[in-house]
Amino acid sequence: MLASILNAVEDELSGVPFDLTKWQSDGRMYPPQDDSKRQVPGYSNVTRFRSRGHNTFICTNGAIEIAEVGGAVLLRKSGVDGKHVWET
Amino acid sequence: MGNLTAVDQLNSQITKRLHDARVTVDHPAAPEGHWWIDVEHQGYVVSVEFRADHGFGVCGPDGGYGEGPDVVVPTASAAADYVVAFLAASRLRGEPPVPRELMRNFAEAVGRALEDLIERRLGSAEKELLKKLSTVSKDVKRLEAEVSELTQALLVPPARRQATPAKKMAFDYKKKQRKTVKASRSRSRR
Repeated sequence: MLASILNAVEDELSGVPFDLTKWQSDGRMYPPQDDSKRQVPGYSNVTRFRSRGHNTFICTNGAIEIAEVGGAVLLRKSGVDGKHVWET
Repeated sequence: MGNLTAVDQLNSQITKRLHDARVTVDHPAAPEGHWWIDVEHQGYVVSVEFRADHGFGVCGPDGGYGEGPDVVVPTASAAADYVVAFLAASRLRGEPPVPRELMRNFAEAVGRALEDLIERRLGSAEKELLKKLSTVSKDVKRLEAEVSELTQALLVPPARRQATPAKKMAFDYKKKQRKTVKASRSRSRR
């Protein structure tokens, strides 16, 4: 969901075509990729995606949390059961 | 070159240039994934993303969500040079450093202060409550005594009511008088 929304917004507003091979230089924003995946100790149902300055946590219930690498939370969305990432 | 070797090389290149830099390696779940190396020096942070097939992507302090690196270089040495350049540029631009440790310490200090405050406020509130309760219990006891006196006064017959000394004296005097009158009447009958 996160990836589809981000890609849709970039398709509409950035004017730069989606091309993962040019992620470093085309100026377009790209959603977290599988190869930036990390495990979260103590939370087997949560996956962390590291990107420039941010960590994106995605839970199996669909909950999403985006935080700065320093720890400040920028976005928190609950999952299908109404629970947030760290409440599951 | 293995991923870990490349990351170690970058680490040592940075340490060579900045002895007091703090280097944190954020390793991926799979070794072939993307590695992140965060370099903190005097409160400024620059991050490097390493991808085996692309090289080192150096990211300055400002960057939005999902943005790529500012510059991509093939060697650890060149990446370390850019790291130093970005850190120096941040200092020259006079951006206020926000050390993560300082932020963490500040957050912890605020947490502790709040806990102390809550504990102290709760403690004083408890003392105040106990004080008020003791006053209330004294008032209740006094009221109970008054109610008991009133009940006694209403339910007990007048003769058995506890009299004041003056009333008792008057009552005793009248009783004595009645006795004297009775005795004189019976004497005159005889």
